[in-house]
Amino acid sequence: MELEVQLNPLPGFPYPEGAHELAWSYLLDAIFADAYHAGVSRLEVMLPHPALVEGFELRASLTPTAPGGKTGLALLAPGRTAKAERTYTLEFGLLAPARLRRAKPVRPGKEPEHSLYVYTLQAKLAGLGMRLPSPASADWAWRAVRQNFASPQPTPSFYRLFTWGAS
Amino acid sequence: MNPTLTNPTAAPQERLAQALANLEAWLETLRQPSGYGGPVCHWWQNRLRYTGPGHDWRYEGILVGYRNLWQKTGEARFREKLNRAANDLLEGQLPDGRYPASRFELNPGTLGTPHEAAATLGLLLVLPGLDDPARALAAAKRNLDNLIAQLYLPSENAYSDRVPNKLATLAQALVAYGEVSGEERYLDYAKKALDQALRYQVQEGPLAGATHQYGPAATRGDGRFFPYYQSRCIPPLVEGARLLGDPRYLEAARQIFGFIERTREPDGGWPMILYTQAERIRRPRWIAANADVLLAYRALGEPLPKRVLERLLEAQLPSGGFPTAEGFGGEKPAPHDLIPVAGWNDKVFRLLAELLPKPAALPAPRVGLTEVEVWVGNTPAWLCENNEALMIQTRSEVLYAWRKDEPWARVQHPLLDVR
Repeated sequence: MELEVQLNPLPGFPYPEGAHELAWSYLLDAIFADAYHAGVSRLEVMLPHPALVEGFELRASLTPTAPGGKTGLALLAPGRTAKAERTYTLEFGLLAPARLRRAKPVRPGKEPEHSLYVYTLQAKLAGLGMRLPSPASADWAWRAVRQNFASPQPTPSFYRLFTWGAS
Repeated sequence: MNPTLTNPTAAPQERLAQALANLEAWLETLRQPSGYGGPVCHWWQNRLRYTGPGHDWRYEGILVGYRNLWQKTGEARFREKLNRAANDLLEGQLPDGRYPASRFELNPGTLGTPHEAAATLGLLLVLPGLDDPARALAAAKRNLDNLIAQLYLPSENAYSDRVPNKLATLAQALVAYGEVSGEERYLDYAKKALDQALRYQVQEGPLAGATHQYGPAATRGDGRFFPYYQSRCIPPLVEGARLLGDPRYLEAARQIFGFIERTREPDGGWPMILYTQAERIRRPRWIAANADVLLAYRALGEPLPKRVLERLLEAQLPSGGFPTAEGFGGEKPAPHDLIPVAGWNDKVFRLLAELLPKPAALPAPRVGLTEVEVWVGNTPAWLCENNEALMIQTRSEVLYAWRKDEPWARVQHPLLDVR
């Protein structure tokens, strides 16, 4: 898949490690899987942090370019909307710092086709158990973190990814 | 005492050969343009959405398995597949020596441990069967140089990745490269890796012989012991003893083996984890991965426990693949149990190819549609797999669909996207 990446660094955006690394695995895979199945051949991306570039480039290199020239637009940091077969927008939920939540959301339509709430409050609470001294308890807590980490249903979370149809 | 096979190949040869032929046919269905794809189910995480090629430890078993098949059958098609698999790594290798999508249950991602070292070890073990062994040797060197540069900390005289089984696999790759190239510095790095791994070996008590899964500190382990990962340490220690001339490594391997034998269960499985405080996790328990445990028996020249091999062979699916585990969903079978995964089946492939006598002829594969009941949470469903696709569906809806030639699956149920 062809890829065009632009950066618009957001102050306070967390480095994608730990729970945020797991979150970005969800977000990136959701975008690329949807774009692939929609026949997108070129993805234009606005990223909030330079550390995310490699993950995009790797997935683009592993995703065959579809014929037909359809374009996808991933506005994961503030940027201008444009005509696209698929548009992906990122918003910040209750778990994110206030200065990230203050960013004005970009919504190219009334209702998104898909929503994904990632790094949820439930997962964050379950993660407290990982600090327990017992490794068995920590393993159970990690399992609970994973099982509650993402949801298509609205729930308090750090990240919210919305997928929009043709604009 | 559990019954054992005094001769590792005492199981009916026809059955082994048929199982291998079926597995080889299944592996072929995973081919995509640049490698073997498919979803990944694992204890640590899962990746069911990304289904493109993974250049990870699956290549260790695939490469060695095809080398063995070619050597034992003399069939040119297996040499061609051996070279095709090697080319996946050679063509895909990044300029700095990494492999793309080398993180298995964390794919797609690079610098996977022990995955890059395991794939490189696979290359090194099959060099004589490759069309261009010099190119493969150069690729192995690039990969190992990068792993050393990224993981070795000169200031601490140790590796940053304090996981004994990962250190052991890295050591085996370094030893293999050192032996082929004659470059002694790689042997030094291998020795450091093995010595570091053994800092985490328990010396006494009911867990004696086992290595901690991870070292949160330089000499303190995390109190978790996976029988499976113990087995991954044994072949590297045996090779280390042979090539580094240090009998301590063989003794350590024997001690680990004692732990594996003590924790073997009567039905031929092992618990997933034992903890220092006498707790253990029995759900899930591995199925396909146990081939690696049997390879550890072979590395030490020990007879294979009959029940372990039986349990493995009995689990083979009609598609030819072997299921991952039992118990991911508790008492009910879950998709994560039954989905066959390239990076677990490579271990079975290697084992069966090793057990195949020489000379041998592989029968025609007899594979068909896998159709098994699974539970997605509280929803009953069916997992169906044929040569073209793997699907999980209820009577009314498709919950998961992967067309085997595609790098991304369609995931319609959130439980099937749990990482």
